[in-house]
Amino acid sequence: MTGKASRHQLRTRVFLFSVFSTLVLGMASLYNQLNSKIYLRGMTRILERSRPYLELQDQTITLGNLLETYLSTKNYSTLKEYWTRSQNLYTTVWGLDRTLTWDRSSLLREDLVELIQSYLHATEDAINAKRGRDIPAYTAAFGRSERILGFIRQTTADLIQADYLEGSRQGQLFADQLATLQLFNILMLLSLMTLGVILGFWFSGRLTGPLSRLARSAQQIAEGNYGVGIAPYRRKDEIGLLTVTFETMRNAIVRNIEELTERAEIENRLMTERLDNLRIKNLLKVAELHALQAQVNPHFLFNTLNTGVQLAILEDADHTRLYIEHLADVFRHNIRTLDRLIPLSGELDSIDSYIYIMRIRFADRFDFRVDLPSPCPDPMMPAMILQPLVENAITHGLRDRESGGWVEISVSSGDGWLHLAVTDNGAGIAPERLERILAAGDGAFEAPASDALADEDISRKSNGIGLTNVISRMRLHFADPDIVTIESQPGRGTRIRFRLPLAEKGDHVQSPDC
Amino acid sequence: MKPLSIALTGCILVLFLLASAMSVRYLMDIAASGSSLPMASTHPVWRAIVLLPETHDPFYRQVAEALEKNARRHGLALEFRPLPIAQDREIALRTLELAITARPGGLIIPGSANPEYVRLINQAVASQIPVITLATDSPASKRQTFVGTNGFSLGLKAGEFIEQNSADGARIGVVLSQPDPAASDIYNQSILAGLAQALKRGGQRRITETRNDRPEAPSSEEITADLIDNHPEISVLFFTSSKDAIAAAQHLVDQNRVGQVLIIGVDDPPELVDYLRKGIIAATILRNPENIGRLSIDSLVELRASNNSSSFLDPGIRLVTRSSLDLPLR
Repeated sequence: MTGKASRHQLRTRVFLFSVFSTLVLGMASLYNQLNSKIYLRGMTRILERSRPYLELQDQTITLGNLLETYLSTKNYSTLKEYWTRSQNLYTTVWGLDRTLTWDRSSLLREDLVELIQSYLHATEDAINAKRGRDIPAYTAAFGRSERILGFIRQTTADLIQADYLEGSRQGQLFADQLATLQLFNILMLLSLMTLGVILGFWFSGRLTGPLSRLARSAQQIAEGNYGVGIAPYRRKDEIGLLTVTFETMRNAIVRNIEELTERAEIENRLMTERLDNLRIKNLLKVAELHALQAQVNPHFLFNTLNTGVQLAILEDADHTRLYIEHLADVFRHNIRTLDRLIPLSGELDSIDSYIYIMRIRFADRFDFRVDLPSPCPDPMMPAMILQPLVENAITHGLRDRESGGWVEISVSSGDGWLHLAVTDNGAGIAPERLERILAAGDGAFEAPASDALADEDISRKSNGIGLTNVISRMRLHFADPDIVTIESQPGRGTRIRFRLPLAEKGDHVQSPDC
Repeated sequence: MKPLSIALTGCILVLFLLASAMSVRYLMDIAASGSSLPMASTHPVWRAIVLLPETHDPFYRQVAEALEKNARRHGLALEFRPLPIAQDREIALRTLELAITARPGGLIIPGSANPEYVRLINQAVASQIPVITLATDSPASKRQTFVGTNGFSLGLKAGEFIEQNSADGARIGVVLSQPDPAASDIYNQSILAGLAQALKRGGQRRITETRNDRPEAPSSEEITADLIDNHPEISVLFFTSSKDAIAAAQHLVDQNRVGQVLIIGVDDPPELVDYLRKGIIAATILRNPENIGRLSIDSLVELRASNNSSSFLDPGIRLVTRSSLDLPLR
């Protein structure tokens, strides 16, 4: 089928269905007309069967009158007319269908024909006798013709009666047959109408079903359900074309929406990254600000401390010199730019100096331990991570302990990670506060750091860099929300763990002793 | 479409096809009966006219049925016309003349002694129309064949039964059917002669009453009622018409006199057989109307073929009683 023909298939079907319905109705009507016509023709034939014989009787009577006139007047013209009519009657009689049948009417017709022939013979005998002037003979022949004419009348009457009875019988038979015929016709028409209704219902369903399904699909798509399936329609007609077009349109919409969604996701990701960068920068700024606040003219202090070292050397005060040198190292480490990465060993060197100062400062009050593996990996990491944690342990955890307190820094490696932990046996952190710290440290991933905590950090730190800042920087730098974990039990201590990836060799160097 | 819908549509379609087929069939029947009247599938070869007495005697009805049945076998169409031979002689003669003028292939008529009737029979024979007389004869005519029961034999058979089944000295009443007095007189005289012959053989049984059941006479019920009610001495009644025998039996039942009068009838219409089975009628003499019909047609066919046939054919008689009812009647 060509494309054009396919497109018009539905129209052809509708047209054919209409033509079919019209033809069926027309045929039913024609059939009804045919019934009436056949019935009328049958009844007419029954009623008119006797007519030719009645006409024969009339002709015979007319012939009798002519005979009587001729016999009484001997008029030639009458005789001529008699012969003419007689010949006509002969012709008519011989032209009749004389096929015998079993019914009485047929036998009476045969009687009638024979009687008419006898009558014609009798009248001819009478005329011949008259012309021969044989009076007794023509009188006898005329009398015989009169008797036969009586027989003809009687037989015609019998024939009419027989035809009437036969007609009545056949009419009754016709009526019975017609009643049965009408019953079947009604049954036929009723079944035809029922079939028409069923076929119409079926056809309209076939026609509108796919359209309804398409409409429902369109409604669902309008409601945003773009994944709705469209019922397959195999015919290549107008509805098929509409279905294919609709499916194409739906696919195009879905594709466009996917593209839009993908673009939005990319933009969202970019926005997030941009926001993260802003947050990192913000945190660094905050940390730097805190560091600057803590430095209070660090170069002056650093130079002053160097002068103090030289003075201690001159005075041979080795302890003082050593103390001031460690203090200068801590300051040097603290004034580093925080957005730079340093090796773990640098961070550990700084923490050694810090611990030395703390041991001098707190004498036997606290114990500091450092547990390192050998050799110790030396990955790069953000600066100022360990010192704030140790400082936090001293300031918050061990603040209220007079003796027996300790802080331990341990490093271990495994599974491609370097695990660091700062543990104390201090007061611990209340669960609510721990939750708030982790949530605030999680700001890089979920929400900005709480202002309250930030303020708290600032107010409580000697060097101004708090725990949440450390957590946030670690998480943002490594894009890993689980990089820092805190275990704490109030009254028993706190352990803060974080890990550094060892996967990239360029990121770290192996150090025999860190 | 669902299976149920398909089944429903199929049923309706089948109904439509059946209704259409039946409708077309009936329409074709109507068309055929209307267009090709008459409806006979085979046509008769020739025709004959049968004139039978205008009577209510079932015998002639049975004869007519037998004639019709046998005629069809020979392709012969029979035209039946009533012959009021007892009621109106002129009309009867006119009917016979009409039948002859219509030139049938044969005539089957009851016989009559009437001279004009005989003349017309002779005229028909002269016009090459074979004439068969049945039941009653016209011995003076030139009819080719008479098919009918021998009246003497009928009377003799009845007499023998009466002698064997009635008391000595019984008084006998006889009702003679006379559809055509001119013809029946001879026939009835033969019956009475046969009856008398049987009664002469022994005993003192005598015929005390003889009545004629003519068409113009009182009804058969009145005749039999008169004989039974007004002649209590009569213990035997013999009827030559089944119609009269049935009327007598019914009267005996009405008068509660069953068993007091011995009734002998003729022929075997269903009502008579019923009375015979109940023992109200003692015996019936079968004139064998079916045989009469068959022999008449056979004779006519033979005459048409060879112009030769027996002048007298006796269909035979048989006396049937209640005890022999189970045997074939004919």
